Amino acid sequence: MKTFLSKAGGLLRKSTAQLILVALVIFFGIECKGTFFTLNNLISIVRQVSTMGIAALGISFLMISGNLDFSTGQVYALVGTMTAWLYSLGLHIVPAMLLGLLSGIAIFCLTCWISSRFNINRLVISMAVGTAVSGLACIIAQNKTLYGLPDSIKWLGQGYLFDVIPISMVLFFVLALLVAFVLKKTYLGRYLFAVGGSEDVARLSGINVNRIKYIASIIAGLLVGVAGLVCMSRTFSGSPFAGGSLSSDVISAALLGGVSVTGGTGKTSGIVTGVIIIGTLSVGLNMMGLNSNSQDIFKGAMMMIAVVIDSTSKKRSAKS
Amino acid sequence: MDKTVLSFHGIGKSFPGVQALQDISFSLHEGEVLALLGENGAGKSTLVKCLTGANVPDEGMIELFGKTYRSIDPITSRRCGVSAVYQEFNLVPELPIVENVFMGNNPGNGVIVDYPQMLRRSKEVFDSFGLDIDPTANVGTLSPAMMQIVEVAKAILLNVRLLILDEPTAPLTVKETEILFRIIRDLKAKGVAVIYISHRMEEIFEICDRAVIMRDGRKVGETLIRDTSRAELIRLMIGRELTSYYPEHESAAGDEVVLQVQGLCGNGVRDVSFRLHRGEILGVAGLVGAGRTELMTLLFCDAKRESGSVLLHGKEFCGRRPWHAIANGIAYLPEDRKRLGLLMDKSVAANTTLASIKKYCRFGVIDRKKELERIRGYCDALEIKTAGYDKEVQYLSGGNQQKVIVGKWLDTDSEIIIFDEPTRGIDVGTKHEIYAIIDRLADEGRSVLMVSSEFEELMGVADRILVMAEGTLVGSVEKPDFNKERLLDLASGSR
Repeated sequence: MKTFLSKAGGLLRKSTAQLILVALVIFFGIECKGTFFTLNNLISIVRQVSTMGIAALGISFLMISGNLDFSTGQVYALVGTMTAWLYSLGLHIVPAMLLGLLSGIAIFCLTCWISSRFNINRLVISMAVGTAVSGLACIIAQNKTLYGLPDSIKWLGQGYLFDVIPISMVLFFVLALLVAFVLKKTYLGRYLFAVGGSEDVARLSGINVNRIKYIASIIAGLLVGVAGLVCMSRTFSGSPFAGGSLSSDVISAALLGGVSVTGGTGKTSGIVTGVIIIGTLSVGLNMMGLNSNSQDIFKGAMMMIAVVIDSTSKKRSAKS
Repeated sequence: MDKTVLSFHGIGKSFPGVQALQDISFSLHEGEVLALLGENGAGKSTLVKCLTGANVPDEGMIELFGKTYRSIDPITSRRCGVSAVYQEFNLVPELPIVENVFMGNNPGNGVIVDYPQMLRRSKEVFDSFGLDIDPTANVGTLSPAMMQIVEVAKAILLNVRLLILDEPTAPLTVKETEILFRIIRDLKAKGVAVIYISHRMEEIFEICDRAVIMRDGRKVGETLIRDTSRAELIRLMIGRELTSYYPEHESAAGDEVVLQVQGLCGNGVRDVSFRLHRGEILGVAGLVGAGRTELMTLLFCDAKRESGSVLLHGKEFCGRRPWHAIANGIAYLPEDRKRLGLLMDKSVAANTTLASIKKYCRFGVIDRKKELERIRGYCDALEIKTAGYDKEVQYLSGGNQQKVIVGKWLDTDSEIIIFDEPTRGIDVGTKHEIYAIIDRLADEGRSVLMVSSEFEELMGVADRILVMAEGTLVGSVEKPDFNKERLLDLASGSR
């Protein structure tokens, strides 16, 4: 009996995120009296979160390797704005998108360079970089939202597979599978966890810690950039204000999914669940008629819960 | 008859799944130094914690200064004059010594702290130790040895009557140990009772009056130190006879020079030259701060080389990063296993192949089956005791953790293996296994550099011992000339 209980306890601890999600779904299911469970609604949740989810997958690479970054929202906005601006200058949309992605990667690499060159916590540097990036995006867009994109990019954010499944959602799940594969099956995954677990141990085991950090930055920049492009396509515009609360949302999602603040742990399935929790929360609260200000309170509370779960689970495992 | 300070009567304590203490009874007298011996996990710390109030015993009585308690809370413990000094210091490095020694005990009128009195009294204590320490200096600037002494000073200022020292000499040099022993003798003369926990046998015979030996949570022996022998104590601790403490070792050293270091400088190391032969176990002795670890990290390319050359198999080696060293067959097992050697919350498997995982990869994808096969091989060969390869290494004993690191470096096909204090914090029985592993590595034709602060250990295991002092090499002693006094002389810098 005792072993059964402890096993059940272990299972509960391992799947905290899934349990929170189930609780939320039940809660909203009752509150919204059935309307919550329509297929349309469920797809709308996933569609809502797919951009955030793609960005969260990217950020989790940084978090697993022990680096927090708080400029996600700004970089995400910059990529869309940059692409729209380059297109408005007369560039073809494909090279414009590539350059947009590149700008995102470049900024994450710059943050990485400053933090490793001067040995400063990435979180602090990323806040400074984020502020600057936001300014840059506003300047190139002249404080306006840039419209006039070609119809050929609509499929990315607005297209449907078989007329029901949003392409952005498919993209999110495909990328999640890819990330799961990289984290679990490749040596890059092992190295990321090692660097996040302890840079000293990683270095003394012959791992090029800086290179791993740059690779994490590149992947994160790429995925946040892709998310930015999906958003650009969905809103059919490039806006320097598209980021919103994304920076903290992706961190909440990753934390809820079991990625530790200090690095070294995390699973893709957890991250996906974390993302869906955030999505469910905002759709559910919307259906209950709460405005975005009250929603922010719930989101903040969610992040707090995530951090508390992270730290208590760490303490518990240190004890046993 | 001496006055009894403390008596344990049938103390028992269990944690979920473990009977940590069972029917422990013994007593301690005024002015007595009692050695509490036992392997890691024997229950020494658990017992001590019953005394400081960190643990509540399930059974039994504790009689402390004439009063009987069922359990003691931290405040009572402190009020009775019980103080414990642990290996991990309980000091705030950013604050001056004087603030640290009076922490939570500041004299004054309740609002304003009487700083001049604090200064005066702390100065008096250090004077009584015969040490010239400035109480306004920050604790962070002190050596580990001095921090230890600050901890003892803190206990004395709390009017200690029962002092518990948990492995106090682990970070200390010979000289510093002497200072600590002098302080202990002073305290003893003043009637303070001391419980002394240590793995170092010599010290027990030097400073202690009586020993209580524990094994698996029980008391297995109690004896006056003058009536016992080292072998007897070890037998009681591990519960079996250790026929020979160190493995029978025939030097496997060949003539082939694997590593030749010439005039190496950098990282605080000056002008070091030596040769390491194939199959040789080369000991590196020295006091704390002699630059041994610094030399090893220099060889492992984890620090910047300023000048000098390193030849591997006669070929110049000028790596700049640890991965260059690893690629050239050098392995390093750091002293601080938990912080530098292992990812504590990762599995035995992940730790074993951390340095060599690329070997198991095709196009970056790990061949899990091949990897597990090799890990199984190492676990069997090194007799690593673990519930499974996916068990996190933090649940393994110190000895098994060390073996996991050995496995990790075997997997990189290392030729030169650097052991930095390989048996620190590892209990007596397992130490023996580690020595046997080192011995076997040498027999297989690998070369070993072994850093240790324990001269006896080096004399038991090494073929030749290099002695370092103040960042440079001060001598090399061949096996027939091994002699503790000579090594100590060299290490203390008297040439």
